[in-house]
Amino acid sequence: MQENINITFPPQNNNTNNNNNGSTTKNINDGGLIGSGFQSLPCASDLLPSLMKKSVNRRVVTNPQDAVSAGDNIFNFFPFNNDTTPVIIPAVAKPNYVEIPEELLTRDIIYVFQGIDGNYIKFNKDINMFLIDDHATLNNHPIYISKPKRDLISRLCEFGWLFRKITNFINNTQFKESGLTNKSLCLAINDELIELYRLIAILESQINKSIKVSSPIKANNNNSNGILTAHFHTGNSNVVTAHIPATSSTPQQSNIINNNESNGYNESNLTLRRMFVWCQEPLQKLKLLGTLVDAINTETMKGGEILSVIESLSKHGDIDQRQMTFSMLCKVSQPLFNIIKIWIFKGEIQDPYKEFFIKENPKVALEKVWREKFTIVARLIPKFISTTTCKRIAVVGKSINYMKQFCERDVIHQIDMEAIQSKSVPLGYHNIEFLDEIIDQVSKQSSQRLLKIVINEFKFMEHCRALKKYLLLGQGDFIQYLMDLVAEDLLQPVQKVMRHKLVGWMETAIRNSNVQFDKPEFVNRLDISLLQDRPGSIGWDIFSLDYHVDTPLNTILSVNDIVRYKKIFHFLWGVKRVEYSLNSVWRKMRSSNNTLRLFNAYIATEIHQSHLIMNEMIHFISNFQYYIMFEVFECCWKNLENAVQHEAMDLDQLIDSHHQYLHDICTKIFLSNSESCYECFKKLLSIIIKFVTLQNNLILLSNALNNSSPQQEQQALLSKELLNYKNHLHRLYQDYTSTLFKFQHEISLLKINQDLNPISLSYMLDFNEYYLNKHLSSKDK
Amino acid sequence: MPREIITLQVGQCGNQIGSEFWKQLCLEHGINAKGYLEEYAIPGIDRKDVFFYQSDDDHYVPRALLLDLEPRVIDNIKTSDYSKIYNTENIFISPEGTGAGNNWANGYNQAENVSEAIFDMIDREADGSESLEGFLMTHSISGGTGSGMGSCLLERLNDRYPKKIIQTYSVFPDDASVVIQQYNSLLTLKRLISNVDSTVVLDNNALHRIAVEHLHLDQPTINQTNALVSTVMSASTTTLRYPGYMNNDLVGMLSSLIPTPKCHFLITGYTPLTIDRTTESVRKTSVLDVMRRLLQTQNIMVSAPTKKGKYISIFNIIQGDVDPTQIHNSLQRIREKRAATFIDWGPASIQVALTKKSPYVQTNHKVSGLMLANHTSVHHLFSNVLEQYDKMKKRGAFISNYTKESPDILNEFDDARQQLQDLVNEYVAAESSDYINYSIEREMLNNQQQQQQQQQKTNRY
Repeated sequence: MQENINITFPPQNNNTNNNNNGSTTKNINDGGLIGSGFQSLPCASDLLPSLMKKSVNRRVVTNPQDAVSAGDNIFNFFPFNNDTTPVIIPAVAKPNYVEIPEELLTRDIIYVFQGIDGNYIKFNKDINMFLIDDHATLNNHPIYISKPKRDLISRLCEFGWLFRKITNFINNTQFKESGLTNKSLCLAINDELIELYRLIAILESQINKSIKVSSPIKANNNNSNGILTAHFHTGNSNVVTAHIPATSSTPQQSNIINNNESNGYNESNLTLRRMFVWCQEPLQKLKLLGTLVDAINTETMKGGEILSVIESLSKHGDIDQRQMTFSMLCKVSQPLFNIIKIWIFKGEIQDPYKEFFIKENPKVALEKVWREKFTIVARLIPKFISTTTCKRIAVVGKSINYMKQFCERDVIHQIDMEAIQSKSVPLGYHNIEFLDEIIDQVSKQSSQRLLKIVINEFKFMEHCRALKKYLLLGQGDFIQYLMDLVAEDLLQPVQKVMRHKLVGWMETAIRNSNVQFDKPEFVNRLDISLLQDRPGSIGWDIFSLDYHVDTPLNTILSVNDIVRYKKIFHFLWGVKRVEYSLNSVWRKMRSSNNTLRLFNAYIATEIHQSHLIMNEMIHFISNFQYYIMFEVFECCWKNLENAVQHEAMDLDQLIDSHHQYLHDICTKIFLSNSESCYECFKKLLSIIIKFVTLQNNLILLSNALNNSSPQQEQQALLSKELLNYKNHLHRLYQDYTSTLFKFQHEISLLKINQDLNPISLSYMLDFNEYYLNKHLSSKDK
Repeated sequence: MPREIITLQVGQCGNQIGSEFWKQLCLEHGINAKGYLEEYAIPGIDRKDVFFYQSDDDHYVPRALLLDLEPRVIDNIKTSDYSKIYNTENIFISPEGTGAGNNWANGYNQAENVSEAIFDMIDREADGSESLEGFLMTHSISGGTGSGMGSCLLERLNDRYPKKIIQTYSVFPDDASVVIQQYNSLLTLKRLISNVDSTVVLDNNALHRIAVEHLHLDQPTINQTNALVSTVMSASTTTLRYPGYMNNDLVGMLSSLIPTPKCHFLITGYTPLTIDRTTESVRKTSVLDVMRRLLQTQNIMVSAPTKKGKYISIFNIIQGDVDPTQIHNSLQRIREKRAATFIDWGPASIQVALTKKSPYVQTNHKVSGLMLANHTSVHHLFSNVLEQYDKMKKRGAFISNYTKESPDILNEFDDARQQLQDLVNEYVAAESSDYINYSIEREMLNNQQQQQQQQQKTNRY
């Protein structure tokens, strides 16, 4: 501290020191201010970056005209405690100037400390700083203050400048009234300022006493050219020392003062320098507050944002600063923690100023209550609460709110009881490290209870299972029955497809399959919906099973999810249709074996080959379905079950895992992200359908012939017809093979591109490496 | 639609197998010996209406016809525990009650005479079902009734219900039984080739071997081998009885197993093999274990060299508590080890169906597996028949028994022999990659040429 007092005054006494700090001074000096003594101000304070910026700006604002007219007597006092601050040396004192006694200056400083104008030091709003008023007079004499004093004053003014800024901040009613956090921030700052008031009070009492005892008289001062000197009564030294411990001064400081006194050097005077010493520690505090105040945008910031700012200042090496920010955080965050407490125990948001990081959207449709009623406002999350914790907090409250809306009365009652007990839960920044623990406890009461309710009472998994059984075709006999019934109707153009008729078929299928034994609460949700049609589409293109979900279930299984299920159904239904038509052709080929023999003279090999082609197609379709069944459905289902039983801790995670389930299925059956694969697959299906038609026509032809043996002219027609068939079959098979190769190629590309695992599909489709060899041999050729 | 299947039990063997089959189905579906549902039975886990219908008093009646030319076996059934489940209207015993005397022609002729009465019964059953999928016949191909009467019924079924699937569970004779069985077999096989969509080969030789070698029975009784058969039969119908994502109908199952019309003789494999289903050996079974074991010859119920030849298709039905996500890994392992040789003229693979295990039947093993496979080596059974037939025919042994019954029988023999030879040829052809260009006409041409060459040779001498 001793060194701090001995401030070095840089020996600048020239007007042309224009290169002192490089380019920063240049502009000003070039602006014709030579002789006015403006000098650059190196701002070394790296702790206060924002403040620094402002100060630099301020420097430029300085009014040069004033400076000139005042006869080079305007000096800027930059509010920095900076050892290298260059201070302009005034022009040589003229004889009629009086030097202001230090007592008066100290009194002015007391005013300045409180942000108020003194007699000689006044605040200039234009340039936002305290200045010595050089127009002021003392006993009608213009005043003169020596260079070292000016320098000291400039340093002391920093205190006042900060003080002023901070009090302005906390007196900003608009800010203060726009949030509980804001209010408590202002209060907390005020608490800190009160400490400073105490210091000021002590200092003031020193001055008052000395002034009371000895009125200001002219005197010579040893170390100054001053005309007036105020004397302190020597007997007051005791008083001074007695009061020092009451301020925040350290014993060391008091020692210094004692030393000064014992040296007999201005013993009990309250000098500027003493004041400077005394205000050092509070100044640190003020600087911190100043930084804080600067960092807060009073127009926009609230709640968590403010807390984040305070928190960012707490990461500091200085213990005092850490302590101070900690205690401030405790105070300022209390309103937020109160809101959190009400939220996590009652599921309500009591947040008149919209400071909470969870926002309630009041006008949300009933089915979107869980997902959209409460949303997290990321910018309002204080930094000391992690995003995960924040999400958990959101879920806890949401769960309670949700349960209150949808659950039985006794559940709500239980929640209320727990909310009453919650008063004893200590929640606040002081035990922030327990926040997660508390949430763990609370989530047992809310999130996990809700999860249990959703699984056990809303029967979430059973609905998923029902969806798997119906919309994902798991209940084979029902699907088969349904397909038998609706197949013909679906061949009609869209306009002729009657939904009510299809619904009737569906009900028949339900009654006659094992679905009849399923619980009505699931079965009754089944329905048929017709998708949007494109011109020229037929019933098959638009048919879909549907599954109704009502409140509260639709808050979890959303309409979008059902749409996705329908999409998957549509895909599977298409595959099943192809499988069934292939099977029916297989059957027809068997039963027409005898009649087909009539063609043996013409196309015996082709008929044999058509069997083999059919076998290839059946192989493809059934293996693709095995892939869907084992690799896609069963694997995804296992993941879902696992997630629901073991991993999901709250409803959000449950919903997420269900989304993941749907997403995985869609990806694995190429419904998402792999269009080229999907297109290939579609093409394969359409080729198979063409083949089915071709075979059906052949069978029809053979049956027609069977009744009447061909006449002479018919025979020519027949051979032409069969040649036609032959060509068709060959072309179709070529098309099929090339598309299949392409499909297999696309799958192999998927392997590399995505993390889905179609490897099992590719080897299932070519288990005995038939296609591989075929491909290789075709390459060789 | 339930896709009902009507079972025809023909002859001594057919009825024995059949009654075992129904016993097993009743156990698995929780139906007691009187046809009523046990109290512990849970609705909705299985489909009983494929094989049963419910009578007015709610008891379950098998969709089965019990047909025989002699009363002995059916009388046994009538006095057994399960006698009450059958519809008495569905039992047909020839009024003469003399049996067919192990003579195909006799059985066939008798069947022709009574076919009207039998088809009245069949029609009644068919009318009683909503969407008949097909018929299932259990019979032996070597006796008199099962073969002769069976043949007659198969021909007429095919005419009458051309669009329905006909599947048979046909017991192939062991080497030690009736002398003239090869005649019967040959004549029956002709019908199995052209009038049937799929035949499951139950090889008595292999069943006997399994009983002796694996079950350590010195003298396996007919009941014991029949228990094996009923296990296979019930297992092969599980996908129809326990609906799942796939293979819910017979057509779907067969269409992937049988690419070409003639090659429809399926062999079976089963693991773990037990007779009274309560053996002491409890093995830890995984999907891979089951699938690997199913490919081992010792578990395959056919006395043909399956190490040679090629699989045209394989369908594994795995029953019980297995992890479905393990299936692909197991298949991959089997593929890497090349545990099965497949044909190379088309895609072929092991298809797997997982089905529930009946909750009412307690077994020591958690998992059991049935393999239905189309394997080219099955032609060895037919070659065997041909060989034995040729020997007998050369000597003209017992031919008079047949000519006595129907004078036209010699042509019939020739035709049947030709058809069986064609079948053998086709199976042999299916082992080569050239099968894709195979045609019966060409084969016939080749045969003719060969015969001509032989004749020329003989002429030269």
